Parts: sequence; structure tokens; C-alpha cells
Amino acid sequence: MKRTEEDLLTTEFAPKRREDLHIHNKKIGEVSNWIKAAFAQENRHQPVLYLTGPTGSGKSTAVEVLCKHHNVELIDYSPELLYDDHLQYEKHDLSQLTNFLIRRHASLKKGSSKIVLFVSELPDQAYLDPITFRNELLSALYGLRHPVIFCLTNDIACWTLNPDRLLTNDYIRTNYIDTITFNAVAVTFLKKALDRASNLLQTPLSNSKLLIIAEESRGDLRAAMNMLQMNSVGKNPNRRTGKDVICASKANREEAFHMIGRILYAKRVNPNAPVISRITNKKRKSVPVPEPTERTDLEHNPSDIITMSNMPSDKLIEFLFENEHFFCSDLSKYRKVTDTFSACDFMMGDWSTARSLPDEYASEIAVRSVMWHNFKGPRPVTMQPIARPVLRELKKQMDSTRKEVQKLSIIGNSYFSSLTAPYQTIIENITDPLSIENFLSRPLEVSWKLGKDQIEDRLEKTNSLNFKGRSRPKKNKNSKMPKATEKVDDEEEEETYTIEESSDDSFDDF
Amino acid sequence: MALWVDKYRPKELLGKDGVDYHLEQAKHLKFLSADCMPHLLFCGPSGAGKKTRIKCLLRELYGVGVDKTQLIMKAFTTPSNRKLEIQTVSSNYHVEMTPSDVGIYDRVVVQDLVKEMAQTSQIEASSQKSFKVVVLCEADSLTRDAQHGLRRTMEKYANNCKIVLCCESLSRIIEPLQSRCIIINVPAPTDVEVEKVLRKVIQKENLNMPDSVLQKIVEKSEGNLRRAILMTEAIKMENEGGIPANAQIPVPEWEVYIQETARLILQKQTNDMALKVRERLYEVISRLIPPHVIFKKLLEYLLPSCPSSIVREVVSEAAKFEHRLLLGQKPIFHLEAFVIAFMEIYLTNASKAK
Repeated sequence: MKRTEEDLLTTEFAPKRREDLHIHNKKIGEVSNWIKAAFAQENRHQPVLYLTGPTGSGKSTAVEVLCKHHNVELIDYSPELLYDDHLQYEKHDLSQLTNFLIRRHASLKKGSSKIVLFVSELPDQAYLDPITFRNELLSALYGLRHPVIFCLTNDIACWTLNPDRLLTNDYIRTNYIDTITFNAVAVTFLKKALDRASNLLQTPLSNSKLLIIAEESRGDLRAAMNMLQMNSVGKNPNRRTGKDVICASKANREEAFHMIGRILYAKRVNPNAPVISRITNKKRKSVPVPEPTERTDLEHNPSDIITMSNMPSDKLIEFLFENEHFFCSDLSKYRKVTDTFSACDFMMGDWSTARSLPDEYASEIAVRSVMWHNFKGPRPVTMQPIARPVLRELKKQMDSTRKEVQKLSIIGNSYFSSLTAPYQTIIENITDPLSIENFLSRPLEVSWKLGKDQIEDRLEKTNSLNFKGRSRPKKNKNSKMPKATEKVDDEEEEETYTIEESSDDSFDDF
Repeated sequence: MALWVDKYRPKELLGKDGVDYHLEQAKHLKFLSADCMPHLLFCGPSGAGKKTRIKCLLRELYGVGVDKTQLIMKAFTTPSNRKLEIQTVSSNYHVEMTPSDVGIYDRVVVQDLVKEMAQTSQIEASSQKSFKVVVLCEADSLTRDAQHGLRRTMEKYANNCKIVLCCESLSRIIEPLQSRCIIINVPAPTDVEVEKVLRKVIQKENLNMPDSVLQKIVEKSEGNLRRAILMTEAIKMENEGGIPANAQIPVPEWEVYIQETARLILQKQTNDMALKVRERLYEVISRLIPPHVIFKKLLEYLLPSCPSSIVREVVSEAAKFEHRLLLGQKPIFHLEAFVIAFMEIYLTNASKAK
């Protein structure tokens, strides 16, 4: 099979056979049985299936694959392609859907008389007016000539757009509509699906990476496939190794940012604000609304914000810590807020306190403190970008450094980084950019934010140019030095040539 | 070429190669080792010679065999099936490690290791000691869980496994553990003692060092002998042609950096400055400098510039946040909280004066 790079993996590697479906067997069985049953009984009115589940749980793919398996033709409901007699687009409304449902569809394939109608979207009108929709649908269902599957996503955050609102339980029961509900795909199934797709690639990804993707995608097969594709394109040479995975972020992360904004701005109900209705909205002038002079109620309940932000306490506090100084008016207030942060951290860290309190306790306190003290604070005039907490990044780097330190043959090395390493670099004149001593005692202008590799680069450069005016070690004196410093000597000697060469040579020696 | 710190480390408790100070205590230790040794808990500030004394004690117990050590990565499995590795230094008679390296899993490591040590008893008759020794460094950063775990293990295997704990502060060792050990307090050497040791080192190295420089080193060593000796060696390396009387004592760069940071804090007290200070603190933390050391240094550099009227309040705030820092998880929160608190106190005082 020739592969075109432009295609999305989700469509390209969509399962073609029943064995390739990595969804729970029980659900596959249910759908399969329904399809079989739909053509087994002739006399009754045509069966209707309401198939729901979260995004990317494999609903439509399962139906497609199983219909193929049972030699059934699927006819998609695609409203844009329908024309009326005068070749004008029909409006996407209910009549279109009902027309589609009651029409007799001719089979495109020869010999197969089995046809299933497949509806994966509903017209907007339906959501606006559920009652009319239900009545229209009901009359359409009586005139059906083929079985119908309604395949709709029901984990939409917005309730008004949720199909469950239209097809209520009551309605489904009274009209003999069958229902099958898919769940989000389990990690093990996701992993299997990813394995399969990955093996179809020219250069498959490493197992650990696939596992990360499977866990990151939160039960969404489509997202998982997209992530697989994101990680498989490009020039990244170490596809099979490494752990860095580009992850697609889901929309609800954005939600978290909104919540942080709400906390930091801490807007209060403004009694001076004009009542906004549809009519006044148009005529509103941009006259600044006077701020309330007294503390009024908060616009949003802090507890609600915390629940909606969907973040654990420590993460939320990190975000607040990172951004609070822009919003806090004066030092005395800021002092109180930072004091609270410190107390919260202490509370979460303490073994006995952390267990006796619910997890949200610390964030509740911190959020309330921030919102209280941000009253009448200076609002940033322009949009204030919310900074990400750097703590995690820092911790990662520190952990890796700590691991390096632990590799040294010192036990009980709490003083190593603060005392021994800086002096050791002076005493032994360590200029090897890869040595941990040098890394720890690097000049403080070389920020940790550069990342480890870049720091080492910088160190190499500064060392070869000028090692802070210190005298260069002489060869004879350092004859008994450990290996690491011998390497340095080589470097120093060949310094008259280009730096890159000399360092390369010294690496070859090992 | 070993560092002088290691080169001139005393090898025995008493005698020619014996320790240079706390002689009374050395005699006491010798007495303990001769008889049935109890569990020990060494505590004292960094650079006072705790580890040196532990090494000497081990040699006293087992002879030179203790010096034949090897570096082993020991693997452990937690109850939740997590694989852990920890670096240990061990001889035939003892094993030494820092259990806090593995973070919250230290309980498993401590218990497993003590059990393992206790199960294999001493074969060599010549050593005439029926027990082995487990040295646990940085015992004050052991989690509470581990300390409680150790309590039971310690009693159960007391016959063939003795534990030597080494820590800086007793306050973070739980009481039941303290009461099971004999506490050996190793205070920092006095200035006179530091000077004595330094002179000894200088003499052995045939180094010519002016008295004024020596005095300065003693002053800057802060009662930390390791620091003093490292400084001496560094100064020798920096001035190869002989040390002038006005030689600069090399100080770790991060300390200078913190000094600058302190100056910034005193210069201007605003949110923006606080942000700048935070960045600088991140920088120091990223170099694995222990946060409580940063805290101490920062206070040290801030206090001299404080008017005496606010010193009390500043110190009390510092104490509060340092306590939280040790118990909390994110040092930067507490450091920043202290910086802001200091700024506010300083600013109010300044505006009051006007």
C-alpha cells in the first residue's frame, strides 16, 4: 500500500477488519447483534439504534467495520450534498433529515439489498426546538424503509448541545429505540490499537512512547492516533528512543486557564454596571463603568472555580504563585498572600496534616486569600499572559543533577553541591564541561533555564576562552590527577587549534 | 590526588593519627567500642567531623579491614513493585548509605538493608565482633515513616547489627529513636582548634602562608573545618608563586550571588524587585544548594543592614518560614514569603522614620 504523507492516520489506519477493532468485545458484540437482528425480522417496523459514547470511543468505526463484516451497506446522512429541484442548497433543517429517513434508498452495490441509514449529526434546529424535533422524528420513524443508526457524541460539555437532551430516556423507551452506549477506550485497548498503527508506519515508535500516548489521550482513540502521527512525522531521529512525546492538549486545559484568570482578577459584582440585555447591548458606549468602592460579593464562587479548574491543590497554587505579583497592589497585601502560600505548602507537605484534610483544603484557602487581597488591585491594562509554573521544569533538572551527584562515590553528600564542588573546581581546575562539579559551580549568569545541554555548551565556550583568569594547570603537576582532569589537559594543550576538534579528540580517547 | 580534606583526615580515635579536638569524646568512643557497642547517633553541624569520627570508630572496631570498601548499587523492590536503586559503600564489616536519596521509599530501604545485614553474621573470628554496622547518613531527612520503621528493626536485630546515625539536627529525629541510641554530640571546632588543624596541614604540605591570611580563613570558615581546609587548598592553587599577605579568600560564587541578592532586596521594595529576587533564588536552588543553607546565608547578609528596631521581627519571620521550609515541599514559596515579609517590614520602618 502506498502511503501519502498528507493523510491523517485516523482515516488511513482506520480498522478494516473486525479483529482490528480494539474496543471492548462486549460492545462489539452488542452492535453486531443489533445489525444481525435488524435484518432477521421482516414484518415489524424498521429498528432504530441510538448509539452514544464519548468522542473517539470508536462508535462510527465499529459500525462501519461491522456492517462490512455483515455485508450491509451504510448510507451516511450528509446534509450538504442534498439539492432540491432547482439545484439549490436545502437548508439544513428538520425536513431534510426526515426526508432522508423516509426515502427509499437504492443500493449502490449490486446484489446487496441490506441497507442501514447512518445519522451522525442532527440539524441545528433540533437543538433549538427539541419538542418539534421529537414529534417530526416520531412521524418519520413510522415511515422508515431501512434500519437507522443515530451515532452521536454525548460527552459534550455544553448541555444544550447534548443529544441526550433531545432523545430522552422516556422518548427512547416509548418508541422502541434500541440504545448502545460506548465508554471511553481503556488504556490497554488504546495501547493495542497504537501498536497496530505504529507497526504500519515506516519507523514504528518505541513501546514506552506508545504507552505515554495511550495514557495521555484519556480514552480518546482519535486523539491517540493524532498524537501518534504528530510524533511520527518530522525529523526527530530518535523515534525509537527517548521519552519526549508531543501531546495534544485537550480543550479543558484552556478551561483551567480561565479559572486562574477568574481567581486572579477576582471580579466582584458591580452594582453600577448597567443591566445588559439584548437591546441595550448594541447601544452601549465604551464609558468605563465605575468600580465599586466597597467590597461587594464575588462574581464567582471560589469553590466552584476550584472544581471547574480540575487541578490538584499543589498545581493550582503553583500557578497562582507564578502570577500573583502582577495583580497584587501593594507589598503588605502581597506579604499576606505569600504567607498563605507558604502555609499551604507546609500544610500539604506535612505528613499528618495532609492526611487529615481533604485535598482541596489548601487550594480553597489559597484561592480565597488571593481573591480577598486582589480587591482593588491594579488590573493589567493589556491582556496579561498567564505564566506557566517553572517549578516542575526546575524540579526535573534538579532531579537529573541530583542523580549525577549520587553516582559519585560519596555517601552523605548534603554539603557537596554547596561546598565541595565549588572549591573542587578551583583546586583541581576542572574545566571539563561535562563534569558535575563544573556544572554545579558554573557562573551564575548561565541560567538553568537554558537546559542542561546548552549549559554544557556555554561552559565549554567560556572555558576555552578564559577560565575566569585562573592560571592554567601545568602538565607535570597534574600527572596523578584522575581521568576526568587528564582529559582537560588534552583540551588545554591543543587549544591552539580549533576548540571543536580538540574536544572531539578528547572524547575519542575514551 | 585526593583533596587535602580527605588526605589529612584523622585515621584513629587516639594516638599519633588521632583526631585533633574533642579528645575527651574520642576516649569515650574508644571505651564504647571496646565494650558492647550500642546504637549511636552522631549529631553536629556540617564540617565538625562527624563522619571522621564514625570512620575512626569503625577502624577501632574492625581494624584496617574497614578500609577495603567497594561501591555497590543495591536494588530494592517496594511493596508496590517499584524498583529502586541506592548507592552504598560497604566493606566486609559495615555498609554506609544515604537512605533519603530514594525519597519517600526510604523506609523500605532501611528495613531491608538492616535485615539483610543482620541475617549474615560475621564469619571472621579475628574481628571478634559479633555484629555489623549500618551507617545511615543524613538521618534528619529520613521520613517519619522510615524513622518509625527503623525503631522496630533496630530492636529486633540489635544483637548482630548496630546502627550509626549521622545527622545535623536532633530536632528532626523522633524521640523514640533518640532514646534508643547513645547521642554523640560533635560540636563545631573553635577558632583556635581550626587554626591548629590548619597549621598542621600547612606544615605537612610545606606551604608558606602569612598569618593574616590564615586568620582570615579561620574567620571565614564559620567553624566548618571542611570549608577551612578547602579554602586553604584553593588559595594555594590560585596563588602558585607564593601567597601574598593580602590574598583574597575564594568564596563559592553562589554566596557572592546571594550577597548581591540581599543588596537588591535592600535597595528597592516592590513587586518587580520581588520577581527579580525570585529568579535569582531559582538560579541558586537549581544548583542543588540546600534551601535552608540559602535561607541562612540570605538572613546573614540582610541582618547587618537592618535598623536594630526591626531585627527582632525579621528574625522571628525568618524562623517561621525556615521551619515551614523544612517541613514543606516547595522551598521557593517559603523563601519568597520571607523576602516579601522582610521587604514589607523594612519599608514600613523606613517610611515611619520619615
